Amino acid sequence: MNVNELRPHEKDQYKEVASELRCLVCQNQSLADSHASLAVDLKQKIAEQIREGKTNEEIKAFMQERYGEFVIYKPAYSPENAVLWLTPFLVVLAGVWLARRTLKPKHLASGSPGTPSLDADWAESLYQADQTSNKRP
Amino acid sequence: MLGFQKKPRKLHVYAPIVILLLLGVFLLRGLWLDPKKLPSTLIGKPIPHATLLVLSFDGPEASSVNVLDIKALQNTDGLKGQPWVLNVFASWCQACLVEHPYLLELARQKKIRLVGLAYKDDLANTRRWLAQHGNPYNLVLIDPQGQYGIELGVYGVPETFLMSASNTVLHKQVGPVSTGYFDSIALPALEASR
Repeated sequence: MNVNELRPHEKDQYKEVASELRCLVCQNQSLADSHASLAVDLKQKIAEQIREGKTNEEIKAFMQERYGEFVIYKPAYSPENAVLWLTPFLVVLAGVWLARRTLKPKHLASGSPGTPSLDADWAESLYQADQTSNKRP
Repeated sequence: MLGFQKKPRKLHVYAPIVILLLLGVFLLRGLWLDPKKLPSTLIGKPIPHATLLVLSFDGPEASSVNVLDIKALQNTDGLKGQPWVLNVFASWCQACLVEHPYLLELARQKKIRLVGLAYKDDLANTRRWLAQHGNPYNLVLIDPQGQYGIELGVYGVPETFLMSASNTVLHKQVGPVSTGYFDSIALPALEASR
C-alpha cells in the first residue's frame, strides 16, 4: 500500500512511527528519512499496518521481531540495556560529587583543627579577656 | 598557606589515566566491530512460515512450495531430510558474485543442500545470471517483492541462513560467505545443535 493513500490522521501516526525506527541500510537515518529500497518496503509495511488499525507499539514490535532491538531508536529498559540507561545518571552523580568536593572552601575541606571561627562571641570573649588583663595593675 | 601547597593526591594522578585507558579499550574494540552486522532475531527459532514460488527455467512459475516442506522435498543428491542452507541472492547484487564460486564448490562437493532465494529480482535476470555464472542451488525460490525477506529480517544481500533438519535457524551470515564457511561456521553450529 502506498503511503500517500493514508488518510490525514493515519499519516500523522505514520510519520511518528517511521521517525522512531532506524533504517537498516543507512544506519544513521530513520526509516522516515531514508529512500533505500528496503526502507521503502518497510514504510509500505507500516502504512499497511496503520490501515489495519495497529498501534505504534504493535508496529514497532513487528519490526523488532524481525530486525532486532537495533531498529528501535528508544530501546526498552532491560538488564542488558542497564548500562546504556544508567551510565548518564551515574556520570552526573559523579560530577556533582566531584564538584562539591572541589568547590568546598579549603579550611572546611581540610578540617584543620585550631582555626577559630570569626563569630561575635569569640570576638567578644577576646575583648573581655583583653579588658580584664588591662585592668590589672 | 598550607592548604594550597599540598602534594597532588594519588586519586588526582591516577583517575585520569585509568579513565583514559578505559576509553581507549572501548574505542580500540570499536575499531574491529562492524556496526553493519546485526545479530539475527531468528537464531534458535523456526524459519518463518511461507509458501513461495519455485523458479523454473522453462516457462512460467507454476509450482509453489511451503518452506517448511523444503527438507522433505525429493532430490537426487541424498541430502533429503538433512540440514540445509538458505542463500538470499539477486542478479543485481555485486557481493553475491564474491561468494558464488564457493557456493558452486559446496554444491559440487554435495556437502549441504543449497536453496536459493532470489530477492527482489527480475526473474529473467535471475535465470540469465544463473546460466552465466552457474547454478549451485537445488532449488531456487522467488521473492520478487521482498516480502519474505522482511519475515527473515533480510537487510543486506547476500545473506546466508543455516537451517537444521527440523527447520530451525542455526546461524545467519550477512554479506558474502567466505571459503571457511562450511568447515568453521556451519559444521560447528550443526554439532552444537545436536
